[in-house]
Amino acid sequence: MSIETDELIEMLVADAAPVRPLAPPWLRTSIWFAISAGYVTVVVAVMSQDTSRFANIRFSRFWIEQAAAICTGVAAAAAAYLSVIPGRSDRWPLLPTVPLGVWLGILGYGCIRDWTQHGAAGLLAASDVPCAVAMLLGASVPVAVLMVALRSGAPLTPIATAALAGLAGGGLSSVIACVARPLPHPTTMTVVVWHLGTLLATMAVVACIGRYVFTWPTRPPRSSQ
Amino acid sequence: MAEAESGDLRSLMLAANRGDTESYARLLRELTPVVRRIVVAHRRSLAADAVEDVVQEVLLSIHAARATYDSDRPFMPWLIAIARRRIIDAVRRQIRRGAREEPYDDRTVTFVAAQTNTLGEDAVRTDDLRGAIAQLPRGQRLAIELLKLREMSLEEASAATGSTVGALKVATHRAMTTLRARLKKT
Repeated sequence: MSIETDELIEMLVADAAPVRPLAPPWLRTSIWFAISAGYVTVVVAVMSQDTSRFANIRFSRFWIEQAAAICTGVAAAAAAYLSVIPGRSDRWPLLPTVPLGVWLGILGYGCIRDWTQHGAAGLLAASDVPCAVAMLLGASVPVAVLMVALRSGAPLTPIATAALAGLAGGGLSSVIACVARPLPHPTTMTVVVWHLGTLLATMAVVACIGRYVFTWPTRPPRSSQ
Repeated sequence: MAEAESGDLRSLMLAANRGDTESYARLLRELTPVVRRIVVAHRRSLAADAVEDVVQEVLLSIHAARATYDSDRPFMPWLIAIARRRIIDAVRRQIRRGAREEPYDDRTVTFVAAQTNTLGEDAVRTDDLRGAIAQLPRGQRLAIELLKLREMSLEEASAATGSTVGALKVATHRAMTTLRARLKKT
């Protein structure tokens, strides 16, 4: 900057207005989840062609998998909110690893089960573009809402924060892709490849965008001259 | 002492967030040396001339992130987290810039022709020249000092020494011949 520090301080003081502190991260996460859950419900209702099949899904693994995906999304959103508050522990971004581990564990168990029941054919991934499309559509609003909300924080780790936002949206949208489809996935490997693949792609794209969305100011206020 | 200082800064921050501009001005003025100390502690990774720029970036970031300060939490970790991040950003920027730019060294070769690259040679010869001038007879040495080193005119040198213009010309000619011969030997 080409101005003196005292001059900068004067500019900052002149720009100072009363500031409303941000709501606690847990409250912001709850608000985000309420908005996102409403959106996910609407998308599932619109996309679902046959909901009668859920009455026949007795195996709790399916529902635990969905619960783990939702928990991953919520934990990632909470971690993202915490990552934009200076002075918080650097370990908060690891929060989603617990539900994500459960989710991956269930998928791993499903793959082993498919393998023992169907042999090598059980480890093949079928093409599942509709799932990827449903996930991208489902993730768009939760990710956008979260990114806008996160901009009011401090961009301490822009790429990590944005990747967490991508994980949050991807976790929730995975539920849409599982619940809204007319038939169950042929193999668990299909879920692994298409859901996790789409999730990683979402995270990567959002992380790249985050670099440009979460930035510190480079000029003092009213320094356009 | 540090705790009291941190408590003061916290009170000032809370008042500033309520819109008290005097407290905000005091806060920023009291923070500036603290931030400068933090930045200077990373001088190894930062260029010396970048320190004040980083201090200003930290102040600007504090201004932008005021809403993230939680009144129930201590102030210093909040400040240090912002300062640390801005220092990391500055170091990364410096590394990126360093990778794109070549440092300019005015002692390196500038043209292909060998005759043009005489900087190093001149540096060596200066000492020899100074020694050779010192060994000249007084009259010749004076003529060289006044006419060649101080770049006086013949008239000015004549007035300064009391010698005639002709005598100065002769002394200079002889001195130059002697110097040329001596420097050729070295």
